Amino acid sequence: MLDGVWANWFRLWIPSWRFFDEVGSAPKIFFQIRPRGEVTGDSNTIWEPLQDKPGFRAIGLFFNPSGNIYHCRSNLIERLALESQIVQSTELENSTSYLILADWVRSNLKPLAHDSEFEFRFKLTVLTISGDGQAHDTDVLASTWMTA
Amino acid sequence: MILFWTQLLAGLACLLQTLEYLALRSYWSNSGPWSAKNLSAEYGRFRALARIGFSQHVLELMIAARFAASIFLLGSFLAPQIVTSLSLAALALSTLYIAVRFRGSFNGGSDSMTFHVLLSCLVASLWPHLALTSVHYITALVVLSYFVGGIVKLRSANWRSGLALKAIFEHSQARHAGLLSLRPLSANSYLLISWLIIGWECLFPAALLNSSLLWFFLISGGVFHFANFLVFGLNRFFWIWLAAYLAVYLSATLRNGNW
Repeated sequence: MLDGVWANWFRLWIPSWRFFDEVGSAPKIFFQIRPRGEVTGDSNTIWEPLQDKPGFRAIGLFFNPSGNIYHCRSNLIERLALESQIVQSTELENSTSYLILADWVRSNLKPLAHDSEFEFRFKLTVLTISGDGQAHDTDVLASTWMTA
Repeated sequence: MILFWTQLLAGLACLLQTLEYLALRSYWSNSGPWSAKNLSAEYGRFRALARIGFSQHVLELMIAARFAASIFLLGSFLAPQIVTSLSLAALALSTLYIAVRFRGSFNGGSDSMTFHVLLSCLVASLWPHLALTSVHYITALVVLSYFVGGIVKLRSANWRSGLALKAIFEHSQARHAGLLSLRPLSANSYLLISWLIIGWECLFPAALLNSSLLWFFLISGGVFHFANFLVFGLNRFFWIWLAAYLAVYLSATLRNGNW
């Protein structure tokens, strides 16, 4: 993991020239919530997509904080989806990408809490395109239940 | 100062970025997702050091310095040269710090272009005999940003068939919600747009050949980045590429004499 850390220090020095160069994995975040302490089976709750995409605002040409942090979060989940392919799950749960995403999902679910205590978990899916051009979402990572 | 207008626009781009960082405080504060606690987790035995270096207070200090430096740069026509140089150095350093803190970059290629434009302006400001080299360096970055991107797309079967663009428009998380939540286009439309993008990017170096081509590529490039803002919300690319375009214009006119 440390190799990746030191790469963070040099990434800016090397210009990036490969915008949208390939079909991305287009990871998506889904979540489940349940009252704290309640134990449910894996199949009892439906996975819902996390609605964290900001809307368009014309002023965004000058001032677009929500759009840019969303862009940053999109890069984060692409990185986490990649890391999930090469790192063991126990190590992954302590990784920076995982911790940031867990807090991101937690902060997005806060408005759903309505003062009640609940637990949540999230999963990541990536886009796979079959030979006939059809797109499918494939699960790559499911978190454990966490307190909100 | 040959890069005056470029550094003025870079100052504006940095000011807008700084205001955005300020508005995002809840995301990078001690209780936010990008907290020093989370970010330091990957630094192993340097964790304690990283926690101090990435703390909320250090970032607050960086943002304050960045805000002041942007204002100084925007008023550089009134300020002594040393203030301009210090402002450019502060902006370049804070851009680097923020990129490292956000694990490589906050906003992808726009961070990198911002950093290189600021560095080039700093070099031109400190060593005036290298000013022309700085102009040509920014020009090379802009030309290569499109040309390399175009060649990579040309070599990709998914781009040549229009499939990559279809995936980006219909499935990419980067796509903006709202104004341009485009309806799916036909396969032929994706194919046509893909080849227009590939052709435009690969032919961008021709902008340096004569003034008509230069104006065509700079104006269409501006439209391209504005469209990227509409579809993906990428406002930072628009401003910093605009700053870099001024250097491209300068480089092309200087190389080709009086067009």
